[in-house]
Amino acid sequence: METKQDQWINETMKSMDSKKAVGISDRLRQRLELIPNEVSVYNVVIPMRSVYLAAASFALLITINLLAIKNNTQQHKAETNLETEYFSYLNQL
Amino acid sequence: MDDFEEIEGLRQGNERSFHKLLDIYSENIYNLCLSILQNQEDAEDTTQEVFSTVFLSIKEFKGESKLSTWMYRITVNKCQEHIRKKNRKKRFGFLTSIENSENAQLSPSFLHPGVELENKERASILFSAIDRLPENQKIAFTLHKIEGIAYEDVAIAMDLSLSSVESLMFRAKQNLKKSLGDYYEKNER
Repeated sequence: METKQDQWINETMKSMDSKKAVGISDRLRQRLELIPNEVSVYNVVIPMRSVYLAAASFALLITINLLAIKNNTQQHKAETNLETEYFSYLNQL
Repeated sequence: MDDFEEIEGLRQGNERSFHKLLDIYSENIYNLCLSILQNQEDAEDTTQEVFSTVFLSIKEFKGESKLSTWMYRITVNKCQEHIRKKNRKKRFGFLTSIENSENAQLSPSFLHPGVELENKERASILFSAIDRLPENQKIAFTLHKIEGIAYEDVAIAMDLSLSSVESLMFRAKQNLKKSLGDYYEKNER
């Protein structure tokens, strides 16, 4: 048998069953209607100068990294040569 | 397959198609946000975010599901983001430990504007209990039970399998019954 508590819980669980859809306010409708303009304006507003600047920064960053790698490799080669020469000298002794 | 005929217009950024989209879906999306977030201002802001995302990402919509379901998915993601942001802020709040404690009582505060006057108080208690559910249970329950969205669409919107949604719904109902039972013991007896 359903207790008073069960009945209360069931009624509370069903309290949203007759809910009606809430209409949007005029203010929100206006905000939503502005989206295409705002999004388009936002797209146009990005200056090409910034785009070129960003691209140049990336290019510079990559160049510096490549130079650093190249330098590092040359230095490593020189060290290896030195070591080889030293060990061959030791072997001769 | 689709329920909206002007997708091509939307893809081309046509304003008239976008207004038509608003005519058909703005109320649904707003109501969904309102039920999940339980706050009118937050629901308005999130609705705006959803439609901005729809306008920007419509080119990515492949038509594999209904447009409405795709939009529900965006709405769920935006609402989850909002809830997480809010929870992060709350963590720094002084009363967090008291508010979030599992033993804390339900504190009905949200009066849904779409609920009839005679049911307002009970609906407020129910919303308070829903708000205490784990995030996924809360969203599944709200989508299906409050907004009347079919299980299949809930599964797509939440990116889950049908059985996972059914299981979430089962657990949500159990948890709600438990917290409502506790509330009854303390307040209604």
